[in-house]
Amino acid sequence: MTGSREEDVVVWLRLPRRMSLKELKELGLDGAACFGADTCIAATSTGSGRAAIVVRADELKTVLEKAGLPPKAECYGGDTCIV
Amino acid sequence: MPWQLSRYNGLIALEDGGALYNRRTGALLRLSSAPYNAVARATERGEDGFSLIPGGLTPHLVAGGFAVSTDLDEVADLEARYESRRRDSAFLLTISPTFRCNLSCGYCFVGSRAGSMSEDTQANLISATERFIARGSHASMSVDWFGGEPLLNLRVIRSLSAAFMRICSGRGIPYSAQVITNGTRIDEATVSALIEAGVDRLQVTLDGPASVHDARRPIANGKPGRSSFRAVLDGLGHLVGRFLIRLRINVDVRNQAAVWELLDLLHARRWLGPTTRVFPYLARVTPFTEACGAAADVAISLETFHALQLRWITRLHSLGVPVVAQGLYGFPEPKLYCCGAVGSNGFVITPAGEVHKCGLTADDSREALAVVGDGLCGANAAEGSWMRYSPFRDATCRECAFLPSCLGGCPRNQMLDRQREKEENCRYYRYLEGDFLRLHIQLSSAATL
Repeated sequence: MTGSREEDVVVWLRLPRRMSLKELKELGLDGAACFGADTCIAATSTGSGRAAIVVRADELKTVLEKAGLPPKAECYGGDTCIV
Repeated sequence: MPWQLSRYNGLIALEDGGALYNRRTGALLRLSSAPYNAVARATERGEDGFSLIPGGLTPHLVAGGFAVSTDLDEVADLEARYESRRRDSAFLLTISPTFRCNLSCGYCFVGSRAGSMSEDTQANLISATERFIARGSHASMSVDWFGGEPLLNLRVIRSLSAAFMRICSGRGIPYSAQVITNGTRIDEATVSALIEAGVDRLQVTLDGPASVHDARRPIANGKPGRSSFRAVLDGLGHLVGRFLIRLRINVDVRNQAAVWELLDLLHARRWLGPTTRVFPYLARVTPFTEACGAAADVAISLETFHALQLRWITRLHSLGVPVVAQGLYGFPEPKLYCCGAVGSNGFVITPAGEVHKCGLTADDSREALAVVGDGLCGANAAEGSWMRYSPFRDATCRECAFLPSCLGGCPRNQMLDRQREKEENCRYYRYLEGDFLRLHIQLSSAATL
């Protein structure tokens, strides 16, 4: 998955919110800002000096916008919010 | 700062390690074996388990809300967020311009009422809306056009939309609208009218290929041989590419096998893909009002539906539909509040001008909060019961680790103490969440890693 030792790899699949470059850097994720939800997929390791981003999916925001989708679900009203 | 693991963490074991999902923040983290096992051991140990977490992992756990300060009361934090979001909910009117419908579907949950909205009621609704917006600080206004079949009264949609857009423009707030329609009354003139009316999304129902759809959703009093399916397909031809379309497929024992043929048909028309904005989704037919009580006899079990749903999502993903980013497909995420009915700014308006909180009670005048001539808020017993409802008042829900994802489910089911629906809701979140997360991880990884 990365060049790091496999046993301590961390892959972010969904960030809890939009995070700044500074916050991402603190997690060892160096690169483009993420938009929260599923718009950023990145991997790093827990050991120092072995951080590596696998994918910076910042282009996903454009894809979402083109598709007219919000990054988070909403209630669509009518009968669409009934589980 | 002393840390503890969040009470809302979900652990998902995978072949090569595992994943963590936090139900309060929505964060999803995949870990290789060593860090995953450390979190699993710390979770098992309980209160003092955090000492087992490797130091390098802590910043990630904190960033995702998987670890929280020992002095944070997560339930109280969640409750405060729920109350705040509920109180400041988006301004959403669900309006039925008519209760009439040109189809007679056997499982329809709308009762037997008829009638269309008069000009007086429209004028009252416009002035009630104007007063409501003037009193609050609303960031936006949205309208869902519902029915009956709302497009049988396009004249009312056009007239009210023009007024709403004028009001919103005057206040500098965005306006948007969707139509929930059976899709049989759409031509180019309708499309132009909808665009002019600020509509950018439609929910259209299609229950299977022609023979299946026509048997389930026949034209009311129609001549033999008339096909509602053909009308919907013609309508979709006008809509695709111009609106976001949520294609609802109501599923029960009678049509569960036929949904794949429908999917092939949509694919053959090139309506599915990354940019077409057509999202076919399955909805389980259940008897949630008296009007559709007979649906109980044909409903499929939650588990059968769930298995169908996972296959459905996987197939859509393979066709390029961006399912992971679309809330319709049930991937777990934190809810802001459980339903527009308990939000302070959500109202359902009937053709007669009654104001309700819940669409499922719209054909029962006893449940009305007010009539639009008196404004949108009634401050009567009916409104009070919706505003007082909170899943945090239920001892079981309050302590439940799944509360951020579920928020008690349908408030009406909770208020009516409908045991079967409540039990199914709990089962859905407690036992099926892991499957959705596994699929989410699989599809996300396949798409980007």
